[in-house]
Amino acid sequence: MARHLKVPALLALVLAFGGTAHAAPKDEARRYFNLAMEQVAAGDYDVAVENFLTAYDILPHPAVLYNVGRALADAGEYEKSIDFFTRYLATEPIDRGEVEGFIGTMQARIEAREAAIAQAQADAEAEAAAQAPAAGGTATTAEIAQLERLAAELQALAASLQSADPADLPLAVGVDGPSEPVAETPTDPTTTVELPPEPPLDDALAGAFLDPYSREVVTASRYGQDPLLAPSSITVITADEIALSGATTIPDLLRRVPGMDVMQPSAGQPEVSIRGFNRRLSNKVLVLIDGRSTYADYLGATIWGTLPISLADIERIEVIRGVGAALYGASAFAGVVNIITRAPGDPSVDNQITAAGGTVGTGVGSMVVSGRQGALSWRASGGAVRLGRWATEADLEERPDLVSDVEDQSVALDNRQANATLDWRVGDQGLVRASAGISEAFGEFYPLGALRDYYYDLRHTYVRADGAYGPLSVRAFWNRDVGVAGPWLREAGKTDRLTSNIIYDLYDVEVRGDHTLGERFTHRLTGGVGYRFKSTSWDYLDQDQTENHFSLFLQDESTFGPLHVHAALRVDKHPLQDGIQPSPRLAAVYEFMPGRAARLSAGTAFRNPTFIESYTSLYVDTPTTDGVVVNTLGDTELVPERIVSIEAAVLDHSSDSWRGELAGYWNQVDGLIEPGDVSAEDHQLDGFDEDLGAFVAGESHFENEPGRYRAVGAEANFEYFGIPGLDAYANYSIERIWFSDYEGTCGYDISKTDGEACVDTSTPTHKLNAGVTWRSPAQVDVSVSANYVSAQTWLLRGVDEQGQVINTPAQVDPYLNLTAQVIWHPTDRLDVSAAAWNFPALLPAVGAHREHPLGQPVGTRVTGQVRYRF
Amino acid sequence: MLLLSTFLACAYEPPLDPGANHIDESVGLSGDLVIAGTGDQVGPALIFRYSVGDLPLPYGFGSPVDLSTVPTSAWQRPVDGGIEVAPWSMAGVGAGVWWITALVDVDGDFNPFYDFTISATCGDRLGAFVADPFDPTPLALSVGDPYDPDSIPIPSWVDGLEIVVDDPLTVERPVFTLSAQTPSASRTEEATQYVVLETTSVDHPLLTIPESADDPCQPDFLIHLVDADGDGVLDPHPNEDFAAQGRGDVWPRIYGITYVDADGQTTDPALDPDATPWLTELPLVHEVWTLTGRDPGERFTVTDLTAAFSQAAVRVEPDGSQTTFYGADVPAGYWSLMAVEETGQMWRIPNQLGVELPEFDADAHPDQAVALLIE
Repeated sequence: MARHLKVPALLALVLAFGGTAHAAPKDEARRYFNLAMEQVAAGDYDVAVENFLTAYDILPHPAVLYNVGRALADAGEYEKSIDFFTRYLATEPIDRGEVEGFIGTMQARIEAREAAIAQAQADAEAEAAAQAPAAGGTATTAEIAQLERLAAELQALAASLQSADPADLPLAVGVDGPSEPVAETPTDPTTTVELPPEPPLDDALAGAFLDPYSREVVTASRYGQDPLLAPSSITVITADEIALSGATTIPDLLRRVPGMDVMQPSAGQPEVSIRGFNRRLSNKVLVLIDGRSTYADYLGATIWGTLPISLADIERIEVIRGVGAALYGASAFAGVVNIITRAPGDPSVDNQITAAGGTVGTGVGSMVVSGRQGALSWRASGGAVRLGRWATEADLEERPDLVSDVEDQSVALDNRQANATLDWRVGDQGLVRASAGISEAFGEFYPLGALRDYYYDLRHTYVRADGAYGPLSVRAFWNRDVGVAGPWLREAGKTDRLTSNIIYDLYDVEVRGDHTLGERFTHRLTGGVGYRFKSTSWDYLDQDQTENHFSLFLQDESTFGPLHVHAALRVDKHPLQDGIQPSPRLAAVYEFMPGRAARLSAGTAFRNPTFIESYTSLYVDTPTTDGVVVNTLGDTELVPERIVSIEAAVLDHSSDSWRGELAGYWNQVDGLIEPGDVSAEDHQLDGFDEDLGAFVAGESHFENEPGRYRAVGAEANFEYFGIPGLDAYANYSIERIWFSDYEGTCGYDISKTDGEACVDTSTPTHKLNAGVTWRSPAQVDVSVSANYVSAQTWLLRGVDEQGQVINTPAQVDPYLNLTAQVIWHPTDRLDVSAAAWNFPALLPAVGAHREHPLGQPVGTRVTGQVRYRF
Repeated sequence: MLLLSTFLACAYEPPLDPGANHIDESVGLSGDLVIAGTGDQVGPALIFRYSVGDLPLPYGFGSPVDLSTVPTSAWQRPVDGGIEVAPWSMAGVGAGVWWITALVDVDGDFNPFYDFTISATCGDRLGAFVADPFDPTPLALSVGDPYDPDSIPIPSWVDGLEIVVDDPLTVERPVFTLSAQTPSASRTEEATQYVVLETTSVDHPLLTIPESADDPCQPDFLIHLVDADGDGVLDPHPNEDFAAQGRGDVWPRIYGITYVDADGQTTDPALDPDATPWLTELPLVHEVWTLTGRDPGERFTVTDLTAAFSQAAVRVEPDGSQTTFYGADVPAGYWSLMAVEETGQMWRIPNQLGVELPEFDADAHPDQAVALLIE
């Protein structure tokens, strides 16, 4: 009997919201799961059930109970099957109705069997009675007593089966496959009774088997798919990897991703880019939480410290390396980071409470609770993170020449946040989700240009609503940032021109559809329309500003046997741009062998000018003169930054023990937006500005750099999980970026040159990551990870005494960040762990390192953590 | 053991490195601007910091190393009446010995970006941080000198420094040009050569023009025949060479500064920071005023004056040392001329009204593009 792996429609809906379960040592569990599926296909149900249960032991998931029940049902073991399905129903699954119907079907069959047996017994007794006179008598009293004893034993056995732990059940006993069911007559062990034929069980249950260990990703195509067949390079960081990482922030987790550029000028605002072009307030990566943009359009960055989630909220992180504008529009320039939180009511995930503390002012606490009742499920979480600065700029107690609005000079990040999500299942096809969150965040960051250490004190809130019915879905959300930001330190007595108030609102709505055509050759069509309204009131801008954005995207995944062709096009309308911004992507994935594929893709992406780049009017003091300022201005004539990318990759996911990927790419980037030089214009004629209390020396506009960058790079990634309890990974990235102006010379900025070549040296050429985790049988897990980044040379923008912009090269030495963590599990519910992040810095011979010339020396952060699951 | 090591680790808190990105330690200065003179005319105030090694006009030729500002709105009259005061401050003061001076720009025509708007004009008030309110000579402020117990330590913040602001100036800057008869002079000519400076009227939006001939703020030369000891005799010129030539101590001073050398290269440090300037003083010919009945010690205004080309020049080295050259050793080329009043008010030609600023329509002020040709 052929069995097909199918995911029920409701589970697909949950996937669409990003809530599928990826946890724990998934790869190891999947190995047993795959074996079980092969055995199911071969009709070897007893071994299949054994392997299902081994997978369940490694990584418990209700879907395994479902699968065991399903396999037992196929084997005709209805009573045992009902037991597992009953346990599955106890987890409040979304397909309760179907499963209950299936159980009913099996019970009917049991009753039919019993009736058939009873009938056979009656027939036998009748036949015996008919033969008795001839034999000289009826059934003896002893024979009747023997039958009654046998019936009692059968009832006792049934009772023991129902109460036993399924893992301890003698599952292999008497399960010989889905041959025609037979039953032994109680009257004569040698006599069999032919039962009536039973219809296939697939007709009674829509979904045959669930795959809880699938390596499905949702970010590459905005629907669930095997990463092998995805149109982009994608990396998944699971909740288990997060727990074993020793990291305290999301950017620290991202260091392990091949091609990822993570630098930490401050613990309060690490900067993240992909395949180069990182900078202070990095703006090339779109960061999503369950598909909701966290991009602060007023600033052009993700302010990590304001994200209202803790690591305990995260189910997994999907990282798309390369252009993503064809699906996500602006800012998905170098890649997309999609943080997928735990689904409400996910029965495979325990509620948990976590508390951690450590050196450098580290304190972390979080609690996540989740539940399900009927059609409703919910998740609520709250947490706090406090990270100390690696170093202060100055000791204010000894520096009366400086002042600061920051009360605690030792804090780099202080975030308190809460979240709530409520799901309501509507029938078999619908799901409505409402969620909201808030974070009160204080943090430190290093802004652009000549500006130095800054702080922010922001309240970030969001309210979100999602709805899905069948192939249609609607998403709407509102993001709001309110607060203040300004220089961390100021010279006493100097006019404070830079501390500012911010009110930023973003409203977004998107309607999306998904439809599959064809059978042998299929087309999966996805499309959507979106509208986004942005409003910013910020002292740095010339006035309050609003923008209306519109978007439309279409995507088709055509499948021709082993060939998958992805074609996507998104168009965006920006209010300051003429026409529309098209973002096409074309990718072909050829699975030349099962589990092995080659991919060729090409696409474009763009980054729109942000509010600060378009509308700024900010007076900045010249460094040596109190009374002379330069006006930094936005430019509404800026054009978006654009990237064209071509990528080729080979992936091998065929083994149950290891996985390998190799990717190479070529990128061309035009029109990067940067602050320009200072021009006197007519400002100097204006003389003293009474309102400013200063003379205006000139102005500096944001401008599109008159030049082009070309990048070539390659990434190799290898993961090994062939030994039970042991996982290892290693990846290496190499990249080179060249710059030239449009006249073909390297004249735009001489300090970007490296010998004769015009090399952008702010991107490290080499990055190497490696790590190993060992889940020992002795209730102790150990993980070690390494992150090596080669040297960089940055250009630091400044203003000289004449008020002219100068760029000074500054070196960042190569550094190696080693992190180790030990987790002890004294009970099934309690974890106690100790982690040392960047522990080589403790060695005097190594010491702290800088990841940006202006950044603080990054030292060791030692933390201890207790986690209790309930 | 794991727990113990964890808590031990948590208990260890290394001190924060205060040198993450070192912000230079400095001194902040603050206090009040106090009107010591008469009248209640105020405007935005400019606070200048000069090194005592490079003093401003009329004491030297230095440029300020820092400028801070006080808006007009900061001036407040105390509740109990009295003179107006305004708080001032200056951040980032490094080690050195400094003069702190002030210019209250009553007419609002000060502009630090042009060479013809950086001098006080008629009606403005001048001030300084002084030891004695009745002595306008600024008091040197020592900062960061470890060997001077009175020096302000670094870092620190010093409040309560009063800058005393004097009466409004009653004279305008000496806006002048060269007489057409004296565009050049010879380094080797034995006979005394004279240069004639004439005041002129320049109309420009950045300049305050006298409303009428009766306006006391005319751009004339303010002559002061110095008789410091009150003996009724003009004091000799402070420069011994000039005194030996019989030149008296008369204000304004007329200076020549190398501008463009014989090869056409600029030698003006205002245009080329790397240039090494040569300087000469052209002592005034004062006899005419003595002959016309002016008494020593008297102050009066004139519209033209005559200075003598001394055929000597001082080379000011980057380290501040000076060497005097004579005759043929004086560099040939174009020299700019600067007239400095005893108040420190100044005018110089050529200036940006005549050259280098095409947006100003240089052709409109050809008399401000004139330089003295030394041959």
